[in-house]
Order: sequence, then C-alpha cells, then structure tokens
Amino acid sequence: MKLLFVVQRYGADITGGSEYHCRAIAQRLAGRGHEVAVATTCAADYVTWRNVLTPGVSQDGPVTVHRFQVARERPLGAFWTLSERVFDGRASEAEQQEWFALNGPDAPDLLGFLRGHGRDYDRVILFAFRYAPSWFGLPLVADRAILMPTAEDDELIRSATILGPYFASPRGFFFNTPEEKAMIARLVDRQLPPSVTIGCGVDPAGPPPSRVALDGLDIPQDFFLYVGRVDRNKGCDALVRHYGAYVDGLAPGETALPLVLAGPVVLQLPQIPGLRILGRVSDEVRDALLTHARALVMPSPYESLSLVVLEAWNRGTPVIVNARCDVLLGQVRRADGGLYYRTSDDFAGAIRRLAIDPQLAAALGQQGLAYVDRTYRWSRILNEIEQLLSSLNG
Amino acid sequence: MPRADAGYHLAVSEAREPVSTEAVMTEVRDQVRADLHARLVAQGGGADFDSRATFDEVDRLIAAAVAHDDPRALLIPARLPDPWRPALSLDLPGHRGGVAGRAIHFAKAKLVLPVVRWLYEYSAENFRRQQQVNVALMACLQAIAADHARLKARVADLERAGLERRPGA
Repeated sequence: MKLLFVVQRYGADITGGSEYHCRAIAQRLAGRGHEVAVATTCAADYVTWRNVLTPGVSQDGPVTVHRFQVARERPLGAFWTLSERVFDGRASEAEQQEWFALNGPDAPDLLGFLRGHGRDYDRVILFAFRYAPSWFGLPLVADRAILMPTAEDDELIRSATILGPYFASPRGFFFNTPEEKAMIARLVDRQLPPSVTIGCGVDPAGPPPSRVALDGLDIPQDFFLYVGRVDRNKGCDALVRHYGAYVDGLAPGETALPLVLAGPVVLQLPQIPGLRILGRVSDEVRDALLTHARALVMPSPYESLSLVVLEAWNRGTPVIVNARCDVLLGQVRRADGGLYYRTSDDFAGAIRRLAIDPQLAAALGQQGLAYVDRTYRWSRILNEIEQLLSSLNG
Repeated sequence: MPRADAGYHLAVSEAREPVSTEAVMTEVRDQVRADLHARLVAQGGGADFDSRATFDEVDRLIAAAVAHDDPRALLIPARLPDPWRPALSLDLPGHRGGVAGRAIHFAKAKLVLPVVRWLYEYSAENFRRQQQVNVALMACLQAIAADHARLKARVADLERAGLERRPGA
C-alpha cells in the first residue's frame, strides 16, 4: 500500500513518544514492502517549533520524508494564557480552535501538501491529535485517514467541547491502550470507526547487561528507579515528596532503598537521604539501570502508553505506577506486573512491600515480561496494523 | 538472597506461583489503612474512629469520592452560580478602546506582568491546589448525599413494609 504518515516532528534524533512511535511504525511497514512517506516539519524543539532541519524531500532509509517549514514559532505567552481559559472550560469554540493553531507547529505548506497530494496515498496516518498538523490535517484527508490520537486523560480532553466531531471523522484508529479507546469513545456520540489497539512494539531484550556501568556511578546494589525527564508535568515533584515521606516514616532499624532519578532535571529538588540524581545517562547506563532496579517508579498522571514501563518489563523489572493515570493502572493490572498508589501512604506501602520482598518484585517483573511477550512484540502489532489498513475499503 | 549480575529476576522467580497485583495491593492497602487508623487514633481521632469498621467505611467513601475528581460528574458545580472556580488564567480586561486602550493593555502585558510574574505563578499554583481541594470536597459531599438519599429510600421502604404487616392495615 501507499502510506503517508503525518507527525509534528520526525527523525532519528528526535526524542518524544509519538515521534518515536511514528518513525518505528513507518520504518517497519516500509520494511514489509509498503511505499511509505512522512509529512513533517523542520522543527526539532517541541516547545518553540523553531526551524532547524532542512526543508524539502529526503530519505530516512526506505521512508521518503517531506519536510515543511514552520511559519511562526509558538507564541508562548498567548498560548499559556489561552491554555488557562481552555483548561478552565471558559473558552468559546473559536478560542478552542485558536488553541490548536497556537499549539502548532504552524506549517501551512504541510497542510497544502495534504490538500494537494493526500489523495495520492491509500491511507494517511496522523499522529497526536493535539498538534496542528493532525488537528487541521485530518479534515483534509478524512476519507482515508487513520488517527493515532496519543490522547491522555488531561485538562484538554476534559475541558474542550469541540473534540467529538473531530474524533468521529477518521476512517479508523490506532489506539495505544483500551483506556485510550474508551476515553475517545466517550467523546464521540456515535459508534467509533474501526480500530485496533496496538501500543508500541518492543524488541526482545538482548542478554542482560552487567552492573559494571553502574558501579562507576556508585549506584547501590538495590534501588528504585525513575527514568525520564525529571519534570513537574511527569509527576516528579510528587514522587520526590512521597519518597521523602517514605524515608521519614521508616521504623527504627528499617533502611530505605535509594531512589535513583535518571534523566534531564528541570525541577528544583530537595535534599533527601537516599535520593540519587544522575541527570541524563547513556543508553548503556539506562539499560543497566532498568535491568538491575528493584522496581521502576512511574509517577506521571498523564500517559497514553509509557514506553519506559514496557522497557522495564522487557528486562523483567516490575513497576510501581501512579494509579491516577487510568492507562498506567490498566497496564499494571492487565500485566500483574507491579503495584500502584494514589496517595503518599499508598506509595510508602507499595515501595516498602517491594523493598522487603525481592522475590515478589522478581515475580511481578517476570509477569510484566510475559505480558510484553504476548502483547507488544512487533510482529503481532504490524499484523494488526496491516489488517486494519486493508480492511478499510476504498 | 543471591543476586547474579545477569539473571537476578529469572533466578529468583522460577519457583514462584503466579502473583496477582490486586491481591498484593489488597494486602498493602490493608496495612496502610491499619497504620493510618492507628495514627489518627493516636492523634486524637478516636472519638470518630473508635471502631476499625467505622474507620474503614468512612475511608472507603472518601477514597472513592476523591478518585472521582472530574467536576463534570458532580452536581454541586452545576448548582453553583458561575463562575465558581478560582480563576487560574490572568485576563487583562480594559474598558478603554482605541489607541489609549491598546497602549494600556500593552503596558500591562509586556511591562507590568513580567515584573510580577513570580507573584502570579505563586498565586496560580495555590489557586490550583485550592481548586483540587474544592472538587474533592464536592465529590465527598455528593457521595454522602447519595448515601443519605439511598438510606432515606430504604427507611421509607421499611416503614411501608412495617405498616403493611401491621394487623388490620
């Protein structure tokens, strides 16, 4: 089939969940003999959308990339002000449309390409509904559009009133999780178009890395782990508060397992005994951390999938997740791959349980691995994608 | 506990039966509730929570209410005069039009606001927390009111049944 992917940023060096996901699927479908192209922007930074990559047509392996310039960087002041109105539920429908325009990336030539050439493709697969290329692009190619919303149960989904007709308009959906599908179905006042719940594929992990990479960093033998941007939006401020409360509440003679934070820090962190802040780490160290942690902690209240949870399970490591995120809670329950918390007391209870019972942690981790094996291997996911693509006639 | 570099998780889990996340979480929550109950009683909450069963029931109701923190699912916001939320966004309204109005708006947005931005962000964060507490309290009140309505209906049913059973009724 002739397939076009639409995504806000694209490239091997671009970090970001939906961008990574889009490229992973595009490359693999091209590897299966489909003719695959991507329409994207020249932006590399998801905050400003500043043009840094060269516009025009290029190749990323077997994938043809059409890259378009961003007409204006994101006007951050106006965007934040309007965001507050939209998230408060006080914005008119016109203001909500304006929110998507301000959110960007504003790439009129990309939309022109969709208008002029979208019908040259059998299917157009659009990623991340909150960004302008998907929001304004979908109506231009609705008769052949497959949407991968990557939606989270956040303030936008809860407050915006213009989402229903948009989510009713594509020919089909790729969803990350059953929770995402249920959330979108609630917004649409008719039967949802055909869909498959695919998530993101994970390749089987290679031989487990040794601890050598960690010994140089003075990482203790047993530890809890957070991997990712250390950011308020990811729930890290609450994580650190909860961990502090866990340390403060230890019984006499009880020792806290350290909490290692691995990722760029964009949050002022307090000094807490046992809190170990590594900053950005190499892939080698990251893999060793994921392999040797007692458990990965994922405190984010907003996730549409959480690839790092799948990566931890792929290494047989259990997870402790924030149950305020329906997706994370659903994933852990389906996998029987870890524990969850809502409050600071629950957090201390869950972390203490795995701290004192390494065998329980290992068993939950193995069950997580089994879940990844039966649900998130690429061959199964690509088969399901192809089945949906070919089942939509016309 | 032996912990080989390569196969720690595999080595220790081989002999273990399947584990249910929910079963473990039930144990964890029971322990957390027991600790919390003991703490509250120790700090003077014994009058309300003298029995563990009462405490468990109250905790269950509050936890379920707080978990449903979407104001769209609550009755109280629908009955309150709008606007009921603490305003989180900063509007810069002005009654003047024309060049003067635009100049004043520009001065407020570009000169005054950046200077007091830290104060605005400090206030906005506190308003956010207050809004969370407001919504949680509304959810609790709604849960209690719903329980109350169900109990009233149950009492009315029982009274009716009692009247019907009375000889000569």
